[in-house]
Order: sequence, then structure tokens, then C-alpha cells
Amino acid sequence: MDVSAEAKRIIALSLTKLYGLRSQRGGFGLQRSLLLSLVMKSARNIYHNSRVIIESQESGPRCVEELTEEPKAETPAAPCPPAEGEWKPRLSRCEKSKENKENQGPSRLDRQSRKRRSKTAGEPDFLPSKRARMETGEEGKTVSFMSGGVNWCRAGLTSVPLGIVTPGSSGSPPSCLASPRDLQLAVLVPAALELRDA
Amino acid sequence: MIPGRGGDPDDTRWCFAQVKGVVEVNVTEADIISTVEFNSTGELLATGDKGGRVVVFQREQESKNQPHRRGEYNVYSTFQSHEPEFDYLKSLEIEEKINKIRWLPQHNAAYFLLSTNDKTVKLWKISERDRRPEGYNLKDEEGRIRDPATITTLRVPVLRPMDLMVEATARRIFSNAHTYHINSISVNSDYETFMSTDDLRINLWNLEITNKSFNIVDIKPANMEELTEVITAAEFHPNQCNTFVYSSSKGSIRLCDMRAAALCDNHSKFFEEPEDPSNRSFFSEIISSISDVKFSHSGRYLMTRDYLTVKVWDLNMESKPLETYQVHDYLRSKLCSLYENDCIFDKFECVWNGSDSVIMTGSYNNFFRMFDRNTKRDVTLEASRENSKPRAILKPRKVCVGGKRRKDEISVDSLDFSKKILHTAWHPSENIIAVAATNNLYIFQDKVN
Repeated sequence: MDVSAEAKRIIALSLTKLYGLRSQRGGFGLQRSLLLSLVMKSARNIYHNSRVIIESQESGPRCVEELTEEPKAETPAAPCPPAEGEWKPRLSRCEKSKENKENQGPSRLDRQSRKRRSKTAGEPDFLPSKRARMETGEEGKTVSFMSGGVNWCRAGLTSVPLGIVTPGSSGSPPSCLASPRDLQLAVLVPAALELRDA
Repeated sequence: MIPGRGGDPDDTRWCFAQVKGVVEVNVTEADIISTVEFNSTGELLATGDKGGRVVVFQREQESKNQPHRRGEYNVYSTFQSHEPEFDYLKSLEIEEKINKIRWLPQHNAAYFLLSTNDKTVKLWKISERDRRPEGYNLKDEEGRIRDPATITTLRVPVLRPMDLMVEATARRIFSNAHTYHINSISVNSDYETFMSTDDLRINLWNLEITNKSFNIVDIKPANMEELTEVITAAEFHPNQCNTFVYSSSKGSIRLCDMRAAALCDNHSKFFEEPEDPSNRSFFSEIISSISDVKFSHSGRYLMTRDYLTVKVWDLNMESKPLETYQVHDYLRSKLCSLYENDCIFDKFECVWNGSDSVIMTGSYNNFFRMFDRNTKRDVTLEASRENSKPRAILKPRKVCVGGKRRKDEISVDSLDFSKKILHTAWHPSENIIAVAATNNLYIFQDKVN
């Protein structure tokens, strides 16, 4: 559980920093943004992986079957080494196969419908509605953030409202990241940032 | 630390020479030094700061009366190199911070240097004026135009001595060639061209031509979502004008030959050390990103700096570095905190001494480290006002990793991470080093026996 909590914290921290880059003097640095997104990706992989482990422990063999049936799995057997707390790169492959299911295929509509589902579950207050974002004129800021040439923001930002981070200090993660479902919304941003592996 | 002269290393030690800058409780951001560079003879030392200013120090002639006191560096010229600009199209401010300064070799009485901010490179000419013409026919002594009707005789103006004036003029401005932030400039050994490097592209310029530049490296992917690495630094080979290297955020270095193709996207050599899987963490990508790359003076070796180590590579061996030096390995367990306070993104530079036998790089708490490649000994020194008595010998510092802390040691948790030595420079032939500590510039020399 420590691993997933740490991963969650790092994801939140990275998001804060990424959004903080927008207001930085001199424009956002491509290198810093890239490194932040890489950290977020690792943390997200670890977090998802630890969730898979927990779920597999709770639900027994069912989880393992789901993974082995995954058509896009990069390893045929998709074994999930259950070693919690070990941050081996191999773990991310297993988890990524589940991710791919999340990120590939689904159209924008599906994403929004997923979002709506979690909305009914009770949207956390650090994620204001899309409407609120447009009212506050955040769109303009979106454009300037992307103007540096990093287009990966667009997909993520349209699926998750900009107001996701309400930073006090840049170092403190939002305290409202309480449940895994909240995090699912947060990781839709890094899902868009996910850099295709070779 | 052996200064390259040979002999018993215990005989030679580093001592304080000078410090430039003021002591302030709250440091003005604009005064923070962002680059330091000696010229090719070591006579001049230039610093650039976040406020876009360049300060050039000149070494005094050594006096016979005080042979033990080597020439001091005093301010020679100060000028505003870059001003803040605004890109209206992108609604972005362009910082005036000087990212790099590189001197050109000297051909005449004037000095030339290249300075760059995020977007624009400028060629500055620094020249002395110690004479002025007097006795104009059409102007009087105050410079007012005379009525030609009152001129009855003609005279030839003569040059009379005046107080020395050092003036800096921008001779060339190389702009509008970089979409991303410039991180490096490097003058070619042909002394005709130079390159400027941003996150994704490297451009080649002719020093005389400002309206044209050639793109020689472009790693921008067609789809930016596929971006996996950026260029972090680049440098020309010191002798071979066709060869240059560039480092990446993934920890690799590519050596390119401009004779092979106009666009050097395919490297001639690829230097990368496989990652140690036992060191894998959330932050592995960040700490493997190379922050500086420098050729040795001989051109035979390459030095790279990543967050925790300095590595020396042999150009003939691509598979792994020749030598790896741990700068501050005790930070490996603190990476999460360093990520929180952004220190993990700090870009440290590294330098060679004149004979390529010693390498130096900075760390935190105003510490800087020197590694002797021959004896394999290293030393940690501190740039601080407490050790600022003239010719005071610097005492080696030690960081206590764990267990019992000795009297003179400092524990890892007591290190001041706001005091970082990112920029250092080593005189090209002597043991004089310039160390930039936030807004102060320290100059140290080896002790003359």
C-alpha cells in the first residue's frame, strides 16, 4: 500500500508541477515537461500495478485470467509478479496491457462517458466541471501552454478540466486525492501524455 | 589536489584569492550568475547573469614586487547583453537570462564573445579606447558644429590620450532560428562557424552571416506525442572542425560528423551506458539526463555530467565510460525530496583542467568537487565567505552519510540545497578556478610555494 500511496503522491506532485510550468516566466521548458511526464508515467504504472495486485489478491484467479486474455499484451502469458514494493520495469508491461485497453480504442465519447460515470459517484472538488473551466477563460491558457509545440496536452486537457490543481506551494499535493477513483481521473491526463514505447 | 604540474599532491592545495559580488540576505534574482567562462588565454573571465548582464574581468599584469600574489581579476567591462522580450504570437515572455558565453579566439586588439539567452545569440566586441581625436575643423571642443564662415584655417586632428574606456558593441545578432530554448553554443575550431542548440534542434551559423543558419540536427518527431528525449548540450570537437557531440535527456551522447551528411540525424558514434537495474526508481529518467558535455582539451576524451555522477568517455569506446565519479551519491536516497523541491532538475556543469588530468563539478551547500584522474583521489571544497581571507587555504569538506558524524563533517540533512554550484570554470593553463555561488563569484588559486 505504501508503494501505491507514494505513487499517488508523486502523480499529484507531478501534475502540480506541470501546471505550474505554464505560469513560469520564459515559457514552459520542453525538457522539464518531458521529465515530469516520464515520472508521472512511471508512478502511474506503479500505482496501477499495485492496484492490480491488490485486486488480484482480493478476487483470486479472475484477475489473472483477464490479463492473460488481453489481446494487446506484450508478453503472451502476462505474468504479474506479485512482489509489492518492487519497482521492476517488467511490472509496468503487465499493467500497461490493462492500460492499453483503457487508452486505445475508446473514442472521445467513451472517455466522456467514463468520466460521467465517476461524476455520479461524487466528483472530488479539485476537479471542477468543464463548464467552469471555460467560464474562467482557461482556454486561452491552454493554447499558450501548447504553443511550445507539445501537443500531447490537448487530449489530456480536454478530458480533464484545467482546474485540477489548486496549488498552494508547488510541493504540496492536493489533499483531496482520497480515493482511487479520483486518481483515475487524474491519470487520464498522463494517459494522454503517455509516450509510446519503442 | 594535483594541479597538473606533477610532484607530490600534498604540496599543492587550493586557496582563496578573490570573491566578487555582494552579500545579501535576500538575493536579487537578476544577480544570480548563470554562466562563467575564461577566454582562451585566461586573461579574461566573463560571467553572465539572470538579469541579462555580462561582466568581464581582466587579469592584472603580475607585478615583480609581489611575486607571490598572482594577477588579480578586476572588472574590465559590464554591459547589458540581452533584454527581456515578449513573443506576442505565443504570449510568452523571453527571459533575458544569459545561458551561455563562449569566447572567440583573439585576432586583434579587440575581444569577441558570443552570449545567448533562450532565443537569440549575440556577438559582442569588447574594445579599448584610450585615445581620442582633437582639433576638428567643423566641430569645436564641445562638439558643436562650427559655422563654416568662421573657419579661416585648416588643421589636422591629432590623437590625444584619454582615460581608458572599454566599450562593448553588439556586432552580430543571430535570432529567429530557434523554436525551443537554446541551451548551448559552441564555437568551431575553424573559427568561422558556431552552433547553437535548443531542445530539439542544432543550427550551424557563420559568424559573419546573421540571416541564414543551417539546421544540422533535428530530433523533433513528426508527432510530438512520440517525443521521448531532448537535446541537453552540444559541443564542437576542439580540433576537428567536422565533429561535434550532443547529449540527450536519456543519458546518451551522439557524436556526429558533418562530412557524412547535411543533416546529421544519424550519428557516427553513440555513447550510452546500460542502466543498472538495481538503481531503478521513479526518478531514474531524470537523474540520467545529461546536463553538460565537454570535450577534453586533447579531444581524445569526453566528459558528461548527470545528476549524481561525472563520467569520462574515451571517444573510441562507446559501450561504457572510461571512468565514473560519484559526485554526491548520498543524495540517491533523497531523490523524492529533491523532486519535491525541484532540485532534481538542477543542471550542473563540469570542467577539465588545462592538462585534462583533473575534472571539477559543483554540488550543493556551495560545495564543489575535484577528481584527479591519475591518482583517483578526490576532494570536496566549499565556496563560502567564512573561508574568504586572502590566501586562506581551503579545507577539504566531508559529508557524513550515516552513523556517527565526526566533528568537521556535515550531515546530509544539514546541507543547504538552495546554495548550489552549477557553474564553474578552470583557467586554460594555470590552476585558477572560478566558481559561481548564486550571486557571488569566487576565484581560487593553488597555493604557490
